[in-house]
Amino acid sequence: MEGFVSRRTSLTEHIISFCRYLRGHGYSIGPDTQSDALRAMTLVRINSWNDLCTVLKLTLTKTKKQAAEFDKLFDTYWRELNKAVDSKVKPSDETAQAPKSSPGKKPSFDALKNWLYGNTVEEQQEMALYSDQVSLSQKDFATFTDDELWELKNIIRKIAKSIVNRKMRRFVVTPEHKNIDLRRIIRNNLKRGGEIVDLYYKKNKETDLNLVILCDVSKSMALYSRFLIQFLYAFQHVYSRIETFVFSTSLYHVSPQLGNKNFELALKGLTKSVNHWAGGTKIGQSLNDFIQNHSQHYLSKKAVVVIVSDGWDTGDISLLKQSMEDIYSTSGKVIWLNPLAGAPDFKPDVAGMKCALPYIDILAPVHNIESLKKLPGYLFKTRRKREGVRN
Amino acid sequence: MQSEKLSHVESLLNSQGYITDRKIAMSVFLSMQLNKPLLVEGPAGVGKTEIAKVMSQALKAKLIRLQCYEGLDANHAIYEWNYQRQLLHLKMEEGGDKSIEEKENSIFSDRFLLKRPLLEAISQEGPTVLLIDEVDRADEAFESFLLELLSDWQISIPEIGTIKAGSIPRVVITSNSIRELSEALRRRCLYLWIDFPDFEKEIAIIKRKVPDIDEKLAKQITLFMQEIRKMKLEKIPGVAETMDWAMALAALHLSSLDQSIVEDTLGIILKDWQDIRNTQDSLSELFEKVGVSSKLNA
Repeated sequence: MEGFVSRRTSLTEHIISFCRYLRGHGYSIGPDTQSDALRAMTLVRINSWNDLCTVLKLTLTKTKKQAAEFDKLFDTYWRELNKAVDSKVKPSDETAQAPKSSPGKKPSFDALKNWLYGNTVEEQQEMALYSDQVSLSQKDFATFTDDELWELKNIIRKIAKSIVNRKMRRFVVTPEHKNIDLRRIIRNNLKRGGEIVDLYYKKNKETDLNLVILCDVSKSMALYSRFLIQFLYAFQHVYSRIETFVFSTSLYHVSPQLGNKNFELALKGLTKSVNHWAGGTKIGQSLNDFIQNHSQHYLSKKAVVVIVSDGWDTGDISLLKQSMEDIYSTSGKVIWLNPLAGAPDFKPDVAGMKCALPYIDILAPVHNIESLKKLPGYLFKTRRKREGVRN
Repeated sequence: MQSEKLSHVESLLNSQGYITDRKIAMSVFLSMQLNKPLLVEGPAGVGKTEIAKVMSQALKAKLIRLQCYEGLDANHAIYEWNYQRQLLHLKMEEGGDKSIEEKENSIFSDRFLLKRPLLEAISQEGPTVLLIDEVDRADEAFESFLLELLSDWQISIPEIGTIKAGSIPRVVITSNSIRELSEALRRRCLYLWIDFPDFEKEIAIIKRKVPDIDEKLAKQITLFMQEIRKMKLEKIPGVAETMDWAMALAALHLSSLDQSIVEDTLGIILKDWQDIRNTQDSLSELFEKVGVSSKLNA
């Protein structure tokens, strides 16, 4: 029995150091979780490594991702431990798999996927700056293999859905705008001897967030915009109060095309109706076009305008400034998503960006899935009081 | 002694017709032992909800289910006053000489309280299993309320006071990961990810639930399902679909699959038009993988 106790103690130590190891791999294991694991160890008779792994997995993992990675970490840890009782654990080389590049996939897509999953800053910049080299023309939509497209679509749809879910919960609509608030009626009419004299109503919070998305699809944006298009597509499908425009040298309203239930057909529709994929950029002119022809329909104080662009404008800068001013003053909020803003040394000193800056409520990066996930936060934040627009 | 209990849980689960593996049994066991809610995530149709049902049967506990949905609020989750009845009661007492206070006391009493699942679960005397289904559909505010409930096990109703749980229910929470759950909720729970079953487990489930199925057919169905899940589908069929299919085919007294049967019954396992079309296109390929000859007249 004594042997058992001492063995358990050393196991306890091992588990604590294993927890430490997991923390090093991004697991947030609090003392309560750790003590759960230790308690669980005393509750289950561990017959095999498998059992040990299962018990620790159940108690220490809290997300799907953690659960998926756990087995490998467990193996690595205990194997290393067996190799050398010296507690310095180094991840072995053989477990670090070299990213395999499947021959069927275009390298450009791999790069894009890297981008999508959040890669290092150098790569982002590189890709953004040398987007000419990976210059994907309009038909490249079709060159995505089914596999890739499908994978991508699922990721993006999930994010779009999460945005909408969050949104719909915050503002619930019902067919009736006024419901009788029975609880309050009864409570407050008791003082009238139970006779219903005063009526009380309750009202659902209104959902009146309209989204207008203006997406730059010019050449400098080529790499990013196609993913954003997928995002827009997914978004358009789960949220109806959204209008989507794309622009390079001129502006196109693409909501109807994006509305197609079949993504491939939607893309075909898009490529057909938009003539200037990956062309030059005239942001000012395009935004002005929006102001002139669409703003009366889609802009109000309840609208949130999301502009997706890197701000490289080859057109009239003063026109851009004027248009931004108009958009700012007629909309509820202006969010500018800039794929380049993800870089740590990013400064909004491109001419177009610079002059638009005073008319932007939120300037945010949109360079990987992570940043896309932050979008809902921006959408629902209320506009801060204007602190005097710098002119 | 303790691990006897684990095997006890295992056999309980088994006796309730739930084909389990050690991981699931252990999670149920640990959640009971550590008194922690069990958070179960996984794709639709892998038997997440079933865990709670089986658990309640095994423990002979009452199962109380709260189905979450968008806009779920306190009135539907915790309690509501039976207003109509309160009004009638007030009317009936009209002309009586009760004071307002007496009236108030009488209509805000247990009799007029409609207990919704959470209050119901708390006010049970005996053992209870509380299933909070698809918690990710409810909003974050509800989640934080839930956290409070899970730690204090009491609910306060302004008109009555605080109701404290007699016995603390076992809690199973399921989620389809529509929305990321909060860190705090996760931390409070044991976490179990259930994936689609592997071949052995799935065929065992089929045999258990459809005992009179032909051995060969069961094997083919399972192989087919395992393969079809590898395809790119909008909605991947779960175990529930496998069951439906197996039952349907068994009811037709078939002993093996063939192309026309599969084509005719594809709607049982696939619920998306696009999926059905894509699958039909690659049916012979699928058959090859499953090892069934398409047996079309040459």
